[in-house]
Amino acid sequence: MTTYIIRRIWLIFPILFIITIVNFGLMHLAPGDPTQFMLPPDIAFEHIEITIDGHGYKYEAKEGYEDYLKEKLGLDKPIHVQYLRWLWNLSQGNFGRSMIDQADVFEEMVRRLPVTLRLTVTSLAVSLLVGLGLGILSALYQYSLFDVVTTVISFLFLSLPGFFFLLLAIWVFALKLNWLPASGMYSVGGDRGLWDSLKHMILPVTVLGLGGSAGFIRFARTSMLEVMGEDYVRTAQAKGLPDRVVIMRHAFRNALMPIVTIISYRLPALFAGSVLVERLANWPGIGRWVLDAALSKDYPVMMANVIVIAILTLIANLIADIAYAFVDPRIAYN
Amino acid sequence: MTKRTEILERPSSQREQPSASGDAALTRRQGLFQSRAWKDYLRNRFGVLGAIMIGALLVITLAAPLVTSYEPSATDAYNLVKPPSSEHWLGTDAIGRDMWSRVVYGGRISLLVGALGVILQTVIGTIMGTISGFFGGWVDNVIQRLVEVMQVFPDFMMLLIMVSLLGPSLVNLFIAIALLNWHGVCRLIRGQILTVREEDYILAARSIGVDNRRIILRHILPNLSGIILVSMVTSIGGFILLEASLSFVGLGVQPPTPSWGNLIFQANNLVVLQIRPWLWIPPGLAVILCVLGFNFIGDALRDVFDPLRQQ
Repeated sequence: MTTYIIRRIWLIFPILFIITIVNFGLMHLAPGDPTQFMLPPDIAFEHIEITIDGHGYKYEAKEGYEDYLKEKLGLDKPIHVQYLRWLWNLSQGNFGRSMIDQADVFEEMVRRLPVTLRLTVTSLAVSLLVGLGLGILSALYQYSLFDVVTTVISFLFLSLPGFFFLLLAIWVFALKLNWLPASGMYSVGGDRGLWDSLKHMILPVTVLGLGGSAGFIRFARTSMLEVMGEDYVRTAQAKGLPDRVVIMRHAFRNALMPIVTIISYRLPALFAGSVLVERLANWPGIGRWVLDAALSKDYPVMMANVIVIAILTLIANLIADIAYAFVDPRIAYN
Repeated sequence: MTKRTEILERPSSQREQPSASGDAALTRRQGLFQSRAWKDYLRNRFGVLGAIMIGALLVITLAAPLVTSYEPSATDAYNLVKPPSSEHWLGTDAIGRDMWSRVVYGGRISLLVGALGVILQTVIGTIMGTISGFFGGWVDNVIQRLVEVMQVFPDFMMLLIMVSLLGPSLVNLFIAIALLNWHGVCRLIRGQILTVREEDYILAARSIGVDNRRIILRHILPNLSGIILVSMVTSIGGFILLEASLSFVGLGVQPPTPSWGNLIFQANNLVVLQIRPWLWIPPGLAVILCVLGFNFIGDALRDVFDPLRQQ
């Protein structure tokens, strides 16, 4: 077991290395020279020329200003030195500043992450509840009408564009029926209480959750069918245990063992799915931030978010794999 | 020999089954319509339904000039934002363009992006997967690490970034989609090659002196054609969704060229969303029907080409 864990942790480093290289490479592919549009607040005064005329004042960079800026930003160094510097800054939690509003990317991320987590965690819960429930039931009643309907539903959820689903839901439930708020996280001037925020969560969470449940329906169905054919289930049935006990004790638990791994591997898709939902529901989370950054070509913001999500996913996968090896020791010995 | 047994991924009991695609290759010689694969496919009701849906969509979009009576970009100042009527089946938009015509022509673009993206992804993925699985060693190691990296990136966010870097255009769109999705095909092909390369006929070919290039092109890849086809069909739906999502935020297909995604984008306006549903619901339904159809076909094909799954 220890060797397995060490080997699994060791595997993370080459991947981490490639992630940072890809990120750094993309940032360098970005068109335009960063010095063209930046004037850091602490630029030395002697590099600016200020002229005052009848209309006010304007300032212009002096000769040699660009070289000075490049030197100050470290852009004159060879590329591997720049890479190491950037890596060092990342490890210090220094993700740079937004090119649009100069906000510190790390601080902003800390502010926005809880919003996205509220959306993704609750919708993951909905996905699991709906997906595992429908999947297991349709496996127990294989080839019944319920099974067929569930299959159609899973196909439908798989094929629905999330943003269109949310538009439809907003149109019907918020605009036509007026039951639920169309967007936002709280009512304007509301008490920001539990009910208020729940009401705002229903539409986006349901849409994201149902969309994500398709995969779980299929997983639960196949996994359950597979386990029901195992020898230990037949043994349990043979010794006369009631169906309920066989299903709950013997089949159910074994069938759902891989679920932790599956969830951890779905994390990137969850974050990716939050982009359009946050945009439509007008939630100030990570997803909408990345979208706005992509629209305004704010590279530091885009890169910082992607790398943080990638690393979080990597760590989640690691933990899930190790946890799974504890639950199912066969893994570690293969 | 020891090295060989190490790289086997499937237990030997599974390998003794007639390989999926080998079976299909045998039946293909009898002619498509007599083959077992064809009969198996027809037995799958969802598969037939999907084929009818996609067939209808293809006919309508390919015959676009015949089924529409207006140019998709022709404006009509006397007929602005008209609801559906016998003149304009799906009404007209804010500058008087016929929505039925825009949805049909938009379908051409959406299907084109999906098809080209899938072809590019399959080419990249097959090449990488073949190299990885056939040659093994450090190349395999590097490619597999790269695949794992692709898996932890949030795909839609990466797509936004790529398109924002490359600039939004039709060509960049499917290049970006393919570059971010080849890893699934790569894993699939690699796994299959690891199994197939241990088969006796490969050994036989090698023993009479056939070189690697010929073994891959003549003996391995044709055997994987069924699996490759399944992966292509199941990916198209996802790609069309990606195109629609990207165009919906303005980073995909650029107006005035219609695509289903940028037609739905009209609902970005609260007035349109609330009182002009004919502008955004039809393209949305078109996306659903199209993706549903491809998913039905893909699932049925998987059953046909994978005897293990049928049991």
